Amino acid sequence: VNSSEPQITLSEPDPNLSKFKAKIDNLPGGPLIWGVFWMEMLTFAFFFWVFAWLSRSEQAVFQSGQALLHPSQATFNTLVLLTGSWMVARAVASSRQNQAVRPWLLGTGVSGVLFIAVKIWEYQQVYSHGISLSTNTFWFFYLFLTLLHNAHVALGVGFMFYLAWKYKTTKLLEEQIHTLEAAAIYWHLVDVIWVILFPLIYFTR
Amino acid sequence: MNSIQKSDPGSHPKSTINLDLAWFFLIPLTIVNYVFAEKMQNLEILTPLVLSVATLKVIMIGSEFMELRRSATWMLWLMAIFFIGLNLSLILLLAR
Repeated sequence: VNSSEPQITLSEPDPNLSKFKAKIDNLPGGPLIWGVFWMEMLTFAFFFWVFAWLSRSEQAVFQSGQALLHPSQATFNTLVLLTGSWMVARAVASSRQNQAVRPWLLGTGVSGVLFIAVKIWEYQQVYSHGISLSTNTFWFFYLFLTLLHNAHVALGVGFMFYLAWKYKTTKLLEEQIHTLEAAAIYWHLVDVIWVILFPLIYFTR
Repeated sequence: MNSIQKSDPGSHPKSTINLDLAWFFLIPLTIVNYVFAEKMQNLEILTPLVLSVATLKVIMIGSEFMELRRSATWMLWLMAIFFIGLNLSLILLLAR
């Protein structure tokens, strides 16, 4: 070894940074899905604020729009999504105990299909009144926000059925459990968005 | 190390009783919230009530369904602070 060559010394990793990285890595589902979670939440929160602001600027328009909606069907849909969220959480718990996850994932997917079916029925009622995106501010936000949310539900349904088809055995690999956790966090995101959207659209006056 | 802990059945309770209890609590809470919202005449109370119930539900979902209480308490705190802040800001905007 030539002693005149410069010595490369590796510095110790910053303990605070390592601690932070460990905290992020230890999140259920991994860091990526949590990045998605917060990006989606902030985007929807922005639209919630705009909706709340405009509902006071155009109070009569918003109240007449709300009068045409069906809060009982929306409540039923909330129960359906909460049950789907419980079922996907049971799927994650079952995967760790080497129990079958398939029935829970299928149940979650079916809950999403039921949610979309009820929503389609509500859209039909709305369209029968000749309402569209351009009718007024309330209907623009109602259709935009609920259709955007429905697109998220449909994507979640796709994930659930795909994983149910793929995870046939009771003993899942470490990576498969990780993927299942990420899919579950996505489903909870869809649920959480609806939990706020539901009272905001149907009940606040 | 962390990834091993994450999926280690030993690091998670074998029982799903907390999940089931959370679900059994959230379902009647949603129904009671709907009944109150439909019957309530006082619109000044209605908005804070329904949005606060929604925030409570979100925190319960984070705590029990997402398992944040057991695996990442700091994220549960972050969620609680964010959703309480969102709830308060919406109440203030709607109270104008």
